[in-house]
Amino acid sequence: MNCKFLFTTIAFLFLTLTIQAQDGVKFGKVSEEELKMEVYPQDSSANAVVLYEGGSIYFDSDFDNSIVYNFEYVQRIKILSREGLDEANMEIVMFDSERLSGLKGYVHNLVDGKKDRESLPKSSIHEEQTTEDISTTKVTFPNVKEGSIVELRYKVTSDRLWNLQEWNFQRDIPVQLSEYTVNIPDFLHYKTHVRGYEKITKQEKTSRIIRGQNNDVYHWESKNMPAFVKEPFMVNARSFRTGVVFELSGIYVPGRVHKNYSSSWEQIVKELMKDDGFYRALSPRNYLSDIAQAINNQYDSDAERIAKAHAFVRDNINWNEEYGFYVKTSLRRILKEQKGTAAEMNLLLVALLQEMNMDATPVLVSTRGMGMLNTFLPRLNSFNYVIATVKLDDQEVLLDASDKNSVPGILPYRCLNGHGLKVQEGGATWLPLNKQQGKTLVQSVLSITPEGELKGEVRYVFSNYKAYNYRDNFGDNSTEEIKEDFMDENAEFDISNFSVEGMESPGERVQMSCSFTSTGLAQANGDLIYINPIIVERQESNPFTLPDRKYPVDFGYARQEQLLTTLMIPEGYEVESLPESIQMKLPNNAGSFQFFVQSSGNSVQIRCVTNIAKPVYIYNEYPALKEFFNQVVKKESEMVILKKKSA
Amino acid sequence: MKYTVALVLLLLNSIVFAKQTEYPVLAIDQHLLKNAHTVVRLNQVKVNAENLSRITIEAKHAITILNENGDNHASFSLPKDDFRKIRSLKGYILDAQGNVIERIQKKEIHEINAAAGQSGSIDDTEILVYEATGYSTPFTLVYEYEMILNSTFLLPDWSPVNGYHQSVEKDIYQITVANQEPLKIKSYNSQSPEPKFSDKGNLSYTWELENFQALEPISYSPPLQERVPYAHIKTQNFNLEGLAGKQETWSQFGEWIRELNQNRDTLKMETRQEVKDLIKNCSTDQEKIKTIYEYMQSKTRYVSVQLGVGGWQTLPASQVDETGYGDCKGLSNYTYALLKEAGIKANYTLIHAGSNARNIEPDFPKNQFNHVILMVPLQKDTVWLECTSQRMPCGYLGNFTDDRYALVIDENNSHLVKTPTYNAENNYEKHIANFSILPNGNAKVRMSSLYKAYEYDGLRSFLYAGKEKQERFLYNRIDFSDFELNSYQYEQTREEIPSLLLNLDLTVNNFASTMGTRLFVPINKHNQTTFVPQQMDTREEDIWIKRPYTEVDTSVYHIPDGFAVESLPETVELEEGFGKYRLAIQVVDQRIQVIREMQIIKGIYPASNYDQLRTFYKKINQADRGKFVLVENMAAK
Repeated sequence: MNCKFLFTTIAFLFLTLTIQAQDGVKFGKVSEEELKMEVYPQDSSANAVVLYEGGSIYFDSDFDNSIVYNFEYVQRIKILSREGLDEANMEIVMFDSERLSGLKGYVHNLVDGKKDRESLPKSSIHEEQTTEDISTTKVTFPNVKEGSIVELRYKVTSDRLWNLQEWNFQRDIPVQLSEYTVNIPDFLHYKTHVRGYEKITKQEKTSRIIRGQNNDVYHWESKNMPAFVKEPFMVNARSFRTGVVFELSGIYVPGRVHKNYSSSWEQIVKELMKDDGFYRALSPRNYLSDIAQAINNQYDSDAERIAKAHAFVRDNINWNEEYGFYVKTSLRRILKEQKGTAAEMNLLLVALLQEMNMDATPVLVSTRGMGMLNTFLPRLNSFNYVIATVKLDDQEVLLDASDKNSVPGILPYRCLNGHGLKVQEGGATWLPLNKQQGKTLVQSVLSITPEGELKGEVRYVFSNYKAYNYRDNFGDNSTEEIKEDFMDENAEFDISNFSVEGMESPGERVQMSCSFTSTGLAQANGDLIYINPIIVERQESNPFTLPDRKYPVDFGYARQEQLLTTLMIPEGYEVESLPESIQMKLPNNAGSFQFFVQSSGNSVQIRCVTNIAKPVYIYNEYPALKEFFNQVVKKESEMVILKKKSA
Repeated sequence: MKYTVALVLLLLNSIVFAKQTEYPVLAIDQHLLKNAHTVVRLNQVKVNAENLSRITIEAKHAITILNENGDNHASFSLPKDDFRKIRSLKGYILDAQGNVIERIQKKEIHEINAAAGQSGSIDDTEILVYEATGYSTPFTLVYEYEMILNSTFLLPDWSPVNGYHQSVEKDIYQITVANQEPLKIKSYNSQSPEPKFSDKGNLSYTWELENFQALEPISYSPPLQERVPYAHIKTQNFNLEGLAGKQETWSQFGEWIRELNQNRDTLKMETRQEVKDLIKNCSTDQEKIKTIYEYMQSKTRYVSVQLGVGGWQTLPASQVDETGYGDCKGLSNYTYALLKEAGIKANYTLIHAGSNARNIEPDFPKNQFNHVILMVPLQKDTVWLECTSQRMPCGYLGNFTDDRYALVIDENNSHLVKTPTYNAENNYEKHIANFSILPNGNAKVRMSSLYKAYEYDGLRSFLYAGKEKQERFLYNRIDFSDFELNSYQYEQTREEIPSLLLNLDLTVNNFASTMGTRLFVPINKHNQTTFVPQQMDTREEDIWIKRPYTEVDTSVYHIPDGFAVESLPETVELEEGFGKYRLAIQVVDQRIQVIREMQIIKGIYPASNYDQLRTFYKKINQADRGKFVLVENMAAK
């Protein structure tokens, strides 16, 4: 997408707008109360608090008459404890095409009860090249201690119109007052969207005329925003922070330019269908006809053909570890050079499948690292990845050729995130990405001696997503290394006869087995033996101990674990007591747990099945989920009691 | 028809025409593949020290990445600053057969800042970075460069193995120096070379390593650097940024450090006055040191500033005074200046920091350090100060700088001194717990825990976290599965051996598992050893236990009314050279008393002890998981 807009004939004369901060917030002037504050009343844990953060955007014409926007920024931070001192190290991260100006800062301290203000010296500002095209200005405020207030302001001039500066009202420290004002001239159209879990106090849209140019003025304000606290089992936290984001949806200059981008998902799809860097890159595809024909001729079933096409791209093109959704070079060249981004590889796969007369389509994805995708906000920037889908007997089969362990229907973990958007004629269709299920079966046969010595055989079978997962973790390791890893994990046992099978064939299940011995796991007491029969893969503790949860618990994929244990009763012993069989379910079939015990002849059999039926649980399911795990832990800690038969 | 696909694939592969091949993967000796993720095919480094201020390095490296586990070695990064210049740099990628697939292009090598992406860190070194992505393994990265150094101070040591899971096929390291500046060498796990006269009458030294088999990380072993061939290298004289130095003795090297950093201890008038006011009421030197140290902690923060000679030279105290920040050198020097103002002599002290850092070589004076602390010698005592922390108790070092040689800088008398060792009594954890068990298996728990030295370190982030964060910390740390934290209090003692006393009041659900009329009560759920050393078929290396500690638990379990003891775990007593463990269980009235003591003893033990060590831990593991069984007394009903 070419996003450099040149308007050579239209002059834009904007007034220089400055941030109009709330009453009482004037840059460089802090109050005595602010300096004397020792604890932030709304959050006594806060190491620092943002007293004020304000930003404004207005558009302007650059010296070469191209359109740019100015982002003016100011913040005031109060340091409350030594753990908050790092807040006085600030960073301004910019693309190389962006310009920084007007950088200014102050440090305020109380010295002998009197206000003292110091300007940010030049020696505290350092610029560095951070990556190929990003540079960072590092600001290290001097003379900062507990109680200090630091203020910073600057302006960034940017030509990245499609990437209008987003705004976070929520940060890792609480924010007392935050406001953002965005002036958008009426020839530019942006979609705006407020995301996150906390409320914003004020939102308004007005308009004003600036030098004959009508501007929409958006204004957002939030007061007393709590600190963002990360929780375990969540996708990229960024998408949960309360903030506002933008998407360029159109440029309209009467009689000159008329470009429409993303007013809706349908529109986004439509634009991408016409885009040379996306859908149009799929054709012409005659360079693929030999391969397509060869595959079609060689295999009879569509399922096999799809698998071969996928394997062809997967095994012949090397992923360069980049995501993206536009192709940088032609797909033909990707094939020739045997190297490409995930987008290029998967679009090549779509082209190949299409050449094979399959109904294949690219699908846009927001990876887990990118964060939760909000389907209510039509925004191309939400995506950072492309996979492929193909119809097989009216079912959509999702494909990602960038991962060497993947097979049709199995996506790498990074893709298991909400829904993906199909890019095809006739509208916007969403496909669920995390419908995969991981299955683990653990079969063990145990025998114990009256002294409590334990011997056993255990066999693991990983299938579906668990098999992928296992290969992903260990696929590059030798059997010896896998064995060592397993021995580390189960160091309390002595392990022998270790074997693992199926590592080499993606899509197949993985089997792992070994023998083990252990002393002391069973407790002997006179005529009685107590033993916990769940020896391996026991849920020993609850992953959820905190009383509350704010954000969804995201496991990535649903999973089922079956533990089948046969405990051989030693000669001369009988069952004294067994755990009770139980069954429980999470509301709405969101999960289940079964624990069946029976004894027959000289053995006790236990079947323990834990089923986490959904990939994602929302906050109000948390108490039930937590209690569910409590019960699992409790049940799996129960003992079998054996007793010496009376003679 | 099967041929067709194969044919297409074949065509694709032949797009790159084979020319001369090098480093084919098949040529790697089988035994080098064992445990290896990468194989260094060739490290060939020629160093020519024309004089003390001009050193050219010509290097060629070829490394085969066998699988994706070795991905992070498929890259290089070369520093570039006032001391180091890169003259030429080129490279290419070979496929498994050894054909050139691609030449590295200029635009693929990025020049970024050495502190890129690190907040609170400023550096003026740039690095040239390349990462090989998009090649299927195995492949080989080959690159060559020429680098110019402006001081023999920067002369690289010989370090042919740079990671676990890395085999080395061939390594040649050659240094040529002028006749009048012969090298001093100390080699480890290898022979030191004899110097040879070269044609121009220079001396040249050559190290070679062939067919070195990859090492794996194993527990209870010294850091990698002490397990592989290595050589310390230096010239006796050097010159950095116009300042000449000698390093035949520690005293000489210390003298150079002292000169480089002298006259950098001036403070502002106000600060000097403040120091005077602060110590007015202090009666002992100890009090003065503590007062000054805490004053420094309240005024400063750590920021890594590496500018100019800043890698070795401290920021002036006046600048730290002005800005309130600095790195280890700047903050130590600043504290030195403050103490000097208070009439207390402190010594700037170089050290190699890290909890599992390699030991420095005491017989080889040269810069082997990466950190600076302060030593304050007193009449009877020595006080050590870590100046980069705003929270460390005065005089405490922790495992970052404990138990190792440090170079104390002193005029004409710089020398090595060993930093404090924290013994098993210092690193101490004690729990006194009281469990009231209810018939349904729930329990009310009151626990009082004492943590000292290293055990205290693990709770430092708790100490200053604020109430909500502290609660979250405790919910994550406490080893019960399902509990409510009713209340907690704590108190810390900030001394040379710091400690924390933490009192907890908890309600634990399902503490005991219930089965019919029985209750199974875990005896040591709050402090279980779950660790067991890994099973190893053969153990060849000595067993290193670097840090000792002691744990003492005294727990009382109140038996609910109507229940009687059916079974108790047996008393366990273990004693080995490397540790002791005792678990004693006793029933007194309606109470069960459990005493548990565990101590791990520092030392180097022979490899043959490994099985004993494993058995020791297995037994502890099992003892810690013991349960006593209570049974409901039917008659009472």
